[in-house]
Amino acid sequence: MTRAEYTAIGSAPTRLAALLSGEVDLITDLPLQDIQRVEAADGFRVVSGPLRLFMELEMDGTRDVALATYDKAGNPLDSNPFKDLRVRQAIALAIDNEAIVERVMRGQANALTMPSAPGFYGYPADMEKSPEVDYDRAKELLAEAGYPDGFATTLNCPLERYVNAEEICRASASLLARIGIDVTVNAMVWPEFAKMLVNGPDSSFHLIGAAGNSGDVQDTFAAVLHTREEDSGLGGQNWALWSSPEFDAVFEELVSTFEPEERDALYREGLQIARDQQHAVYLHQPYITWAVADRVEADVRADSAVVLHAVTVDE
Amino acid sequence: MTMLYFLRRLGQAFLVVFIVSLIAFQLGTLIGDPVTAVLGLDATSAARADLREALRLDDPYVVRYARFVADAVQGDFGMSYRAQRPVADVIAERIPATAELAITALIVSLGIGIPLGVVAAIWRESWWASLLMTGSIVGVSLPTFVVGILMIFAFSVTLGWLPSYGRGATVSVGGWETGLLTASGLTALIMPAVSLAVSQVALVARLVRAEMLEVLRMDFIRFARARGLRDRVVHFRHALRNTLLPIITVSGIQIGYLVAFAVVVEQVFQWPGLGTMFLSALTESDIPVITAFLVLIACLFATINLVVDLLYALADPRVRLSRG
Amino acid sequence: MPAASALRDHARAMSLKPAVMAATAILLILVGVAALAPWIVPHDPYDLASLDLFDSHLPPAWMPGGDARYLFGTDSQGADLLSLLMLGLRTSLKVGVLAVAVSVSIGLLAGLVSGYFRGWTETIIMRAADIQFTFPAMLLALLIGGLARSMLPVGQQESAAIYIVVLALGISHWPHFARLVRAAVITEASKNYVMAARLAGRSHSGILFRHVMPNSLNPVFVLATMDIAFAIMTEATLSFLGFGMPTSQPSLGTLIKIGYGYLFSGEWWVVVFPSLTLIVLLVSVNVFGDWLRDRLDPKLR
Repeated sequence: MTRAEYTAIGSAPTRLAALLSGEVDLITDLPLQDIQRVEAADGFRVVSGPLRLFMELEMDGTRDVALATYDKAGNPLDSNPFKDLRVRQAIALAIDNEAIVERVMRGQANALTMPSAPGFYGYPADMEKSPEVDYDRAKELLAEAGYPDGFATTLNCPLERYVNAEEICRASASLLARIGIDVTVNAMVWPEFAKMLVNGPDSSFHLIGAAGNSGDVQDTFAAVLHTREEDSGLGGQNWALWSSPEFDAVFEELVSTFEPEERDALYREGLQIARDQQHAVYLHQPYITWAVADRVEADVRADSAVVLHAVTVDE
Repeated sequence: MTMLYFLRRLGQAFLVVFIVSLIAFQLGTLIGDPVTAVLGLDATSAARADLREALRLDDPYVVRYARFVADAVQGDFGMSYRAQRPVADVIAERIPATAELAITALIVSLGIGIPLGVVAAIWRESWWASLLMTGSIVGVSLPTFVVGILMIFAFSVTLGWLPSYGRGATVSVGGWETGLLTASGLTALIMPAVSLAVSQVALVARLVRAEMLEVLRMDFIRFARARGLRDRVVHFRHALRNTLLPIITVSGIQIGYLVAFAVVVEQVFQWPGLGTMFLSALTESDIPVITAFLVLIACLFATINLVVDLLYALADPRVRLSRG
Repeated sequence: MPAASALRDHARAMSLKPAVMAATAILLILVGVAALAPWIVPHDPYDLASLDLFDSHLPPAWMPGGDARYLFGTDSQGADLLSLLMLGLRTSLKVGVLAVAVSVSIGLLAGLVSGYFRGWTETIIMRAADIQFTFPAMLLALLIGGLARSMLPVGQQESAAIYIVVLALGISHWPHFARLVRAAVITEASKNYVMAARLAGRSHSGILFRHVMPNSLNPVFVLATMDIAFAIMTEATLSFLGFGMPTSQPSLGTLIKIGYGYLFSGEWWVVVFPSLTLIVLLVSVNVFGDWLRDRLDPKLR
């Protein structure tokens, strides 16, 4: 084969139509609802694999008064419920990751309980546990935190950047409604969302896909979980404004540790702190889904790039 | 008098373009953040500051607008953030697709709409003319994108007859990428052009019928009839000719509608024209592209209106007196 | 001869054609459903706590795998599609009526003032209308909506969405009403009774609102009816493009936008039902408006 052509087809349904009509041989980001159709079609199949990214609901860990958050009567709250560990745990207990994975992601994702995922260097698979859902306990926790009736808030949600992002937000809103937290989903196009993050972030509750840069747990620690520091650039993607001195100490130690076993222990310690503090509500790791014609042999890469040496075509 | 009228209309056209450019520019400064659009989320604050500096985003509003206008009149709309190419190039290569779609739809809507309107006016008493008019109400009520979606559902998904997206293969004729000369290009054009034309056919038919009825009521037609001229001569020699003037206006308005709704139809069929370009620029905050598109559209509409007004004034001197 | 044909026209306009009767009946049903929707929906999709993800993506009840509780099936969140349609219909109609109310208010005021006072007031207002006429209403609404949205603080856009859409549509369509009203006012203001009122020393606003306006309302009423269909269609288009009503308070256009993503996946019901509802709504409004025009305002035909 001498040449390959990359064609940008913005809309997912038309991308699929292009594949099925034989105009292209490989499409990326196959909509999950179309997987069955591709598998049922003669001569096509779906290739998928975990993406190096984890989806989470980030909650404001710094402000004293949460943005766009109200009591049930609609008056702005003078507190930040998200800063309270019990509220964060209550939210996590109400969000049924496995239901989201099964129904919203149609099984094309791994449910998670910590800020890392299979495929990240240093990910301790044995630390994963099955997600817990307990509405009664969640309500108790809210009551203990001083919100027996719940509260109302705004979930900022990017459109289109992540697989089924808006559906995830809407599903989260209905799950949280069960424990008395009224969530308005504020869906935004990505530039608007990105602008909101960079300016502040002007958000106390949002959905985001986090990774860090190189796919090493240490990178996630540095970019996403470390306290934000303007000078060093640490915490540059800590849009949750989460800050834990305990966690930062683990990170400092990790940076100067080279012994693999010690590093492994520090990874675990850091992830355990994030999980115990419920830095965010961890949802799942989405899969990359491509659809290809049968004559194409392709392996998905965890960074979702289509690289030609990973693709072969039978002439 | 004619000169003054022309100048006044020209001034109005410039005013339109000016106002739209102002809104477009303002919109550009409000939607998204150019720095994030270029650098993404993981850039350091130093890199952000450098880019702000380089793009001269911190200059006063008036200075930036003046610079924008000065560049724009020379055809320079800056670089697309997304494509990293000059916006003028990005737009130029999208024009053929939209032009072919809109012109095809225009021909279809005038070609079918005018005859329908004429016969509906002449045989207005007949049962089929009133059926035609009822049908035209249904036609006017069909939103372009819904027609497009239902056609895709019927002819692509269910029957598999027609392609649901894109414009097929194109060939270059003197630098113009046309889809009109290939079989796949023509089949790809069918559904977008039809969904764009459906409501326009109905609209044209209604407008032409109304104008024609107006003319048929006029004195000179009654005199012609009184002189004993045959119906056919009266209808086609006298009445239709006098209906042509309004038809000029109708065509002008049509082009406006067609371009506006082409944005929607292009989105439904992923037609690679200006509409899809504009909409994806909106979701990607590609500000130079958004601004350039809006200014271009404003120029287009201002020109169409100017031409229509002038043709009207030339053809019918009374207009100058009553409107000028 | 002309008198006879005019008489025949009139007779035809007064008789209710079957098509008009059917359209009016359907319109009444749709408006009734929209008005009562929050109380008669089989399930309340806005009561988020009642949604169950495991009920999502169900086909209509008569198809294999369908559930008798959900006649038209469910969406991706497990919400009942029939209920969403009823509420979407309500949202669409509400936006359409409110947007026209905005257009009428602006247009009525502008038309009254310019037709009554003439002179430079008229020049400025009607020039503004002329200028706006050169730009397609849909693109204009897109622009106004985008501007308004981007000026709101983060988190407020969702709740303000309906007002933004109503304003954008309303502003983009006022010139039609301004022209119509102005023409009517000019005719009306030259009549003897207005002259008499002026001579009697009545105040301008008194004459305008007490005498001139009521006599100019018929054509406005007709145009407003037709314009509701136009506003509903434009709103649906904006929502389909993603710049109209958000998914948390979907109009028919928003539902079609969501459904469009499932066009190829076999879940046809989420796109086909909202599309047909929108078409039926628009056709019945237009047929009714056309009949109304024949009755109230033969001049406009």
